[in-house]
Amino acid sequence: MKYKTQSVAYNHFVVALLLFVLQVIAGLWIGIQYVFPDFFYQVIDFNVMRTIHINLLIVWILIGFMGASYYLVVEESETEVWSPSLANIHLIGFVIGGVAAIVGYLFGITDGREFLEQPFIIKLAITVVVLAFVLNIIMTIVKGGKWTSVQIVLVMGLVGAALFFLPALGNHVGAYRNLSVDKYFWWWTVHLWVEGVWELIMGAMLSFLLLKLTGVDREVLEKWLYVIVGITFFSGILGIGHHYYWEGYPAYWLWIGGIFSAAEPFAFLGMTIYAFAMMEKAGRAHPNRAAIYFTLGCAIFAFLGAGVWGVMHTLPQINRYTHGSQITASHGHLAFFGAYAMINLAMMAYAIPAMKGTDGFNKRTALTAFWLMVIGMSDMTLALFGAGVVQAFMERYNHMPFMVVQDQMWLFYAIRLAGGVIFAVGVLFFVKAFFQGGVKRAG
Amino acid sequence: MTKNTARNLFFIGTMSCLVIFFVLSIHTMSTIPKHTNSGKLTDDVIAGKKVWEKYDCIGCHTLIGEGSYFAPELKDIYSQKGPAFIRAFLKDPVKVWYGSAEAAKGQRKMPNLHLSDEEINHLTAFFEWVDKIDTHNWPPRPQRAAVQGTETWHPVSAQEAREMERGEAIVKEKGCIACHKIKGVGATVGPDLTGVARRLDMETLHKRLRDPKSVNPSSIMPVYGFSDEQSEAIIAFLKTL
Repeated sequence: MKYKTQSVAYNHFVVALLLFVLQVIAGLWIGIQYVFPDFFYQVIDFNVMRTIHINLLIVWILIGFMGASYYLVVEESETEVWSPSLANIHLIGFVIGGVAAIVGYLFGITDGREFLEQPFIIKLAITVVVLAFVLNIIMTIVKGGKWTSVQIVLVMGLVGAALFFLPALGNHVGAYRNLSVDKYFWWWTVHLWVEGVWELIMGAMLSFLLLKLTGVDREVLEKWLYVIVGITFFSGILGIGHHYYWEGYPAYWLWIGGIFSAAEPFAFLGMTIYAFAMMEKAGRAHPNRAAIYFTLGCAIFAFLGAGVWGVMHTLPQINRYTHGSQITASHGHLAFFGAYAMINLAMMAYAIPAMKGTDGFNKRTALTAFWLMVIGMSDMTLALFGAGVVQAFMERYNHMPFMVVQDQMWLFYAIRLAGGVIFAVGVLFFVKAFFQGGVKRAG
Repeated sequence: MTKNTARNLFFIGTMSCLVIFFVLSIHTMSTIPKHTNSGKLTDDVIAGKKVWEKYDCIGCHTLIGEGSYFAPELKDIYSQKGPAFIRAFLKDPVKVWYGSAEAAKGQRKMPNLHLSDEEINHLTAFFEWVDKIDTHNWPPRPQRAAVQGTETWHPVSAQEAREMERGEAIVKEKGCIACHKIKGVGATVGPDLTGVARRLDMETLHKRLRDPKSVNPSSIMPVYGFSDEQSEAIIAFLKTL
């Protein structure tokens, strides 16, 4: 390892991966409850594990981003991390905060706002942790003195993520007593993260991987990075309107949300074309095949999950019938997997072997992981999509009662559970490849 | 296009979008009192939102379409089921919905949260307020006037008309559509009441209203203790369906 402080990235990746495993277990748990409702009924109910499932998702993605950022910034700046001990301390702080929140959920301690269920004190702790992390990243770049475009976009993403977390702290603000006001600013965190600043983080990491894996000209690559993140913000900021259709706001949001969010897939399409074009340009075949698979997988599934599956129900005329149905769950699964889980897995698949001095993950293990995850997730997405179509038609369009319609969807939930099991096996293969640390290429 | 042009376009585009977004946000906030009846945001409603959050209700339900899709949407639960049903249901969800724990086996069901009466009152107030948020008529519901039978009975005298109106008032007050469907609106826990007066004779209707179990021993309908006079009025209304 050329830079020894890159080991802080390794620590983050290990924690992120373990939390990913726990997230999948929590997901299987609630998947079982859909099919067999008596499973742990009145013991650990659906809402508890669902909250844990999604909180773990957010936490492992963020910790993965942190690890990947440390790895990336050190390489780009060609310098050691500003304060490796601060990095380890904030990692420990994040883990303690996360574990405390999850144990709390098991005992019914919750703020009860979707995704932001963490008690106020833990939210404050997360804020401190994230600020310490952002400081460490910025200081490392300052120390190196090289503000490459990849680093600028990454820092904008990270600072933006910290900034837009602030509205989440406001549960005790008087105005939030009004559900519609609460929801308005809740979306500032939720939407502007996943359909805004997180895309910048992802774009920066994708560019970094393409630089490393293809060796194409930096100038060309960075130009297209700006074009892509430009489309992201142009469509994504006002695209927030697609969450404001039915929540007690003026009707102009139906127009604004419909028009701008219809442009959101172009950012992801841009990333897909960008990744493939750069791979095409690459003169040589990089030995780390797993990293290439996950990088291209990320580009494809981000476009399908976040782009196509999102735009499908983003127009108000359609969303009127699909809002609050399993269509959203279908979209959520493929989008988070394709965009944010995949980019983290790609960074791991590239960085871990590089740090261990190997040429890449064991190809057989890593590609088995890749295909099982892709098949499992596609199964879940399509099953939930089928369930969502049934629900939108029967419940929203034909006004049949919720529970009557749910009975018609049982088979879809069973198929989804099977997909979840396949996905979980894929994750275990990835864990195996990860801890193997990679192999030297023969010859 | 050079890298610098791309970067400048990115910064200018982002800043313009942010400015437009902030201006629209300020305007949207100024319309909140109109769209959400902020004036009716009483202490009970505020306490109800806290109860809603305390029990992580959104971990199963959706509210204005957001949440967990495992349990029903509750935006208009107040007008769909009525306060009497909400209170009874929250006291013992399994009993009210399925009749018994035995019948609920293998079915999706709400856990009993053992809410206090005060918490239930607050939650009910919260649902009543949420029901009135102007969501551009979301979730979509059938037009009440559109479903109309042709062979219904019409009151001929002023006395009959009064009786029918009283019956309708009782049906609304007791929240019968919490369990029964009336002209396409309501739940399917109990039988559809549309045309029920043509399907059953007067005596059976009276008996069912007085003590539901006397006709059907497995009925889960509560005994409301209607007087004969009230039963007459209800039946007069049922005849119009």
